[in-house]
Amino acid sequence: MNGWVKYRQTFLDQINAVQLSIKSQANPLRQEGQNLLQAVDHEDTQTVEQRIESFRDRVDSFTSAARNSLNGLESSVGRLKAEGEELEKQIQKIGYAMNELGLASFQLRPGEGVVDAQDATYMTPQKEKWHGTLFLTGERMIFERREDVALKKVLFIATQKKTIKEVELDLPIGYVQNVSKGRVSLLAWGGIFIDFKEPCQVRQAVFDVKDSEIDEIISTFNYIMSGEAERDKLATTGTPVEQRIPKVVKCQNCGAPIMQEIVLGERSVTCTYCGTVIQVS
Amino acid sequence: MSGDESQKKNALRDEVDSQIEQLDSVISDSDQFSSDAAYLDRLSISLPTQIKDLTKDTSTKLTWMTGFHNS
Repeated sequence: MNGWVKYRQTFLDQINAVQLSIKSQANPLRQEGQNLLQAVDHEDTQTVEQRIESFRDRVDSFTSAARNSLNGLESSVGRLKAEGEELEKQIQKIGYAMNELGLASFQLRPGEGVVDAQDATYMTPQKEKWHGTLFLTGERMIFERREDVALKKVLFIATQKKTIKEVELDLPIGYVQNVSKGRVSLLAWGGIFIDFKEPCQVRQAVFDVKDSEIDEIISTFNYIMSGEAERDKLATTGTPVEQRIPKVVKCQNCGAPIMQEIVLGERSVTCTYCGTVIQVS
Repeated sequence: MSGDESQKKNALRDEVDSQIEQLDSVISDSDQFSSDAAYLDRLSISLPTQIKDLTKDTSTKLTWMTGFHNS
């Protein structure tokens, strides 16, 4: 939007100039067209035909030049409009994510930021369907299950309900190997398949999400996994990159080397020799 | 007026109508830019406030993407 603020007056001047130029030429041509319609009824056809031919040539020439001017304006404003529309969309999404986070049963870690939250259904390996919210942060993917439990029933109808929220998946984003879209069941068509790499205990997680959100969710995963989110955050907050890269290579207890890869989102590792849990960031 | 003559006049009227529509279309498209300017004006006023409200903790995707940092 800063681009628009800077460019605003120039753009408005351009619009005014183009609109004035177009109207000053189009209006007399339009009037000439109305006169020709009258002339068709009252004058000699051959003479009118010649005038119409000349009229058509001038209209074609004018509209071609006018379209060029309008295309020039469109290319200037198109990018700004697209940028504004994208920001509006992101504001709505982040508003939703922040709201969901405020109601969540878990808390973010210090320095961790929410990137996205989506209403989703987790298709469990046991063929159950758990409704809830899929949160993506700069470090983790978290699925929080949401279930309405009846506290009181009258004639089998729940008259008092309570919503229970529970974290079912909480995994470092660095364990995600691949995210793809596909058919998740016979009835629910669109969804995402998340494959995890070793040593993650979960091999794959499947979520039924809104078809219209699938590409956006995959793109958000890629945004985080590629490190772009981290780079954007560092650029904004000014935290030097070096301070955020874990440097732990030896167990603080037994001195054994840590051979296991420390992935994005992992804040601790367990020493395979003595079992000590070591904080890595 | 003969049938041919009448047909010819109708064809001429259609031709002129088509040219007038072409002119109207150009005028309408140029007017559209006023709406675009109004839309962008509205965004330039409302978005910074909304973004600041949402980025108080400096940790959302929006903060990172826009570079807004409400410290």
